[in-house]
Amino acid sequence: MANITLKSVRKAYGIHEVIRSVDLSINDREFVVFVGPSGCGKSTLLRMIAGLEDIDGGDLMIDGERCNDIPPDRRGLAMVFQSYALYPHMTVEDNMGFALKLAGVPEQKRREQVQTVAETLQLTPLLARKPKDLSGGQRQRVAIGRAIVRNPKVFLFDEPLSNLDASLRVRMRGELIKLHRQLDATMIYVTHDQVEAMTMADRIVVLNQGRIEQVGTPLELYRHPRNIFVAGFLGSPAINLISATVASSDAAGSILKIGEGDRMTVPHGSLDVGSEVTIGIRPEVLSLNKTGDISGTVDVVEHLGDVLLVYVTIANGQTLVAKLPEASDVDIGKRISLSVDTSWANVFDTHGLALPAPFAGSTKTAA
Amino acid sequence: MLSARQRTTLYSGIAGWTLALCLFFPIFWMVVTSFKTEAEAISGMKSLFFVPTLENYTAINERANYASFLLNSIVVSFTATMLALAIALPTVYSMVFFPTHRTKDVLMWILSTKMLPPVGVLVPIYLMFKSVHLIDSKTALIIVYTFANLPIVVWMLYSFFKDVPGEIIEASRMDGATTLQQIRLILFPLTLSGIASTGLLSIILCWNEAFWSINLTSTAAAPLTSLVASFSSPEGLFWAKLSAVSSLAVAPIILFGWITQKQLVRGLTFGAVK
Repeated sequence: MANITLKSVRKAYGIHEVIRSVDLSINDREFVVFVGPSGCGKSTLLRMIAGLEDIDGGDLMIDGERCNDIPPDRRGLAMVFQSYALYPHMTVEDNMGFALKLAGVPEQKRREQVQTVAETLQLTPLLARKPKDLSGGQRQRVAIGRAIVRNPKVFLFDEPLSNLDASLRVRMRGELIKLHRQLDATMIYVTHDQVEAMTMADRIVVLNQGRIEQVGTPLELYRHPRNIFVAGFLGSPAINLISATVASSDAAGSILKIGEGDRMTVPHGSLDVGSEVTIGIRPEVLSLNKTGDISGTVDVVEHLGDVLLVYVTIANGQTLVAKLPEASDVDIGKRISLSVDTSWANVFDTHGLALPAPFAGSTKTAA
Repeated sequence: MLSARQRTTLYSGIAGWTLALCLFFPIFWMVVTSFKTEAEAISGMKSLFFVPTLENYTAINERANYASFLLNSIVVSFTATMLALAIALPTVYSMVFFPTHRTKDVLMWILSTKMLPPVGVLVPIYLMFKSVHLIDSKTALIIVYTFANLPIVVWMLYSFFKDVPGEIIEASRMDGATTLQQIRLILFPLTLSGIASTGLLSIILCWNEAFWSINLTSTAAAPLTSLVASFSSPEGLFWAKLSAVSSLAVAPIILFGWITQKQLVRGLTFGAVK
């Protein structure tokens, strides 16, 4: 069992507040990913949970026990660092057994435990080597192994894949997901990579400027972002954010005017007529349609093999990205018309907050 | 014909040897002079060929007890270095791994004490030691040398410790290492050659120090530098004897440096060839 609860947790360096009152509850065996742009405080928050940074205000509870003043090694956590932070002067075996040695575990037992973990991570042939003789991926595995040997309640990962090349990163991502299932432990994972967040997390915590913007499952956040920041942070290519004006509105829905000619009907009801809004449209909910809602001129076409990314300049001068089937009939310079699956459209007010949609939570899948 | 590469090797070899010989020549000349008679010693190039004599060394031995000066030098240099390291290690550990926004200022302030000419504080320090009856004592020299070298020791250790990634120390904290264990099991093994070369430099600086030793000691605590100085007497310079005593003064430290030079070179180029 390992629940972690943060209650109004704060951190400041001088007058500069890096964590501003964070409330968060992490369940047992959950894989939670902290994601956000650099400087958002995600690493600091992780280090506060680890005990490497002091907590200036609020409570950190691990399994109901207040841990603010408990030293890092007695919180039952293990951390994997971005640089792996292996001890360069020790062999792989000594690296992995270091915590056990400090805890006074007898040598024979220590060796056995290290051996067991080394086998699961395929590190057995490397046990006698020093970190400098290992590849990046191997070092990564040793760092993870060093964490597992301690048999912690919670694993903390601080951007562990960012030093690996792209293909290895994808493979390690899969291994970590598998590991989470095997170990049945709570994991907190920090990354700036939204793809890692989407693929690995049970729940994502989006942080921005020391505050939590939204917490939810990857799909919740992807489909129903609470504000423009979350909408723009998740998804690649990024969500299209189109400025529009409310032309008419009643309880059943609204008609939004984009630029001069285009109009779009959204299910969001009871908006103030004449007010400015931002429509969030994912590239994949757009489709070619001669009588579509939005029309524009094709600027760039990118072939990804399975799909096309089409960049379209629309009536109000903004650029829209559409993800269309490879066989679509689009040419640079040509005018096209696109229709929007409006049940998947998000509408944000002038403060960037999402407006409620009556059909939110629809089970229909995106195109 | 030599290839361009061989020529580069040749030229840099010649340049290297020339520089090394230029640096070594004074020491060589000093040692050679120490085996001449006084008359030969002042005759310059005319005495390129001579019959070596040990008369200068005998004269020194008759006049002074070399061993006692040597012992003073050793005791003072090593003790002062140990003390400086003992003070500097925890200081630098906290400055490197727990810095504040004032750490850079503290470092500059520590260094700035080296900018003060020693002669400026000679009188107050002399009077202070006099009032506690420490004139002509090894304790006085040890105290002065410890603090005179502390800035250099702190700065050198700072650069060595700075090369150790903070995450490694943090990882050991997560693994349950106490502060002492972090230093003993992680930091020391990783910076040992740096600490060794810092210590060696401090020993050399103490060994060569003359200003304070001449002013604060007379006989009981006088190290080798005082012995050398005593041979440049008002009755005139005795080049051969001065050379002999100088050779005796530098021999132990050159030998020591030679034995430990592997450490020193590794330490001084630590950041570059890591």
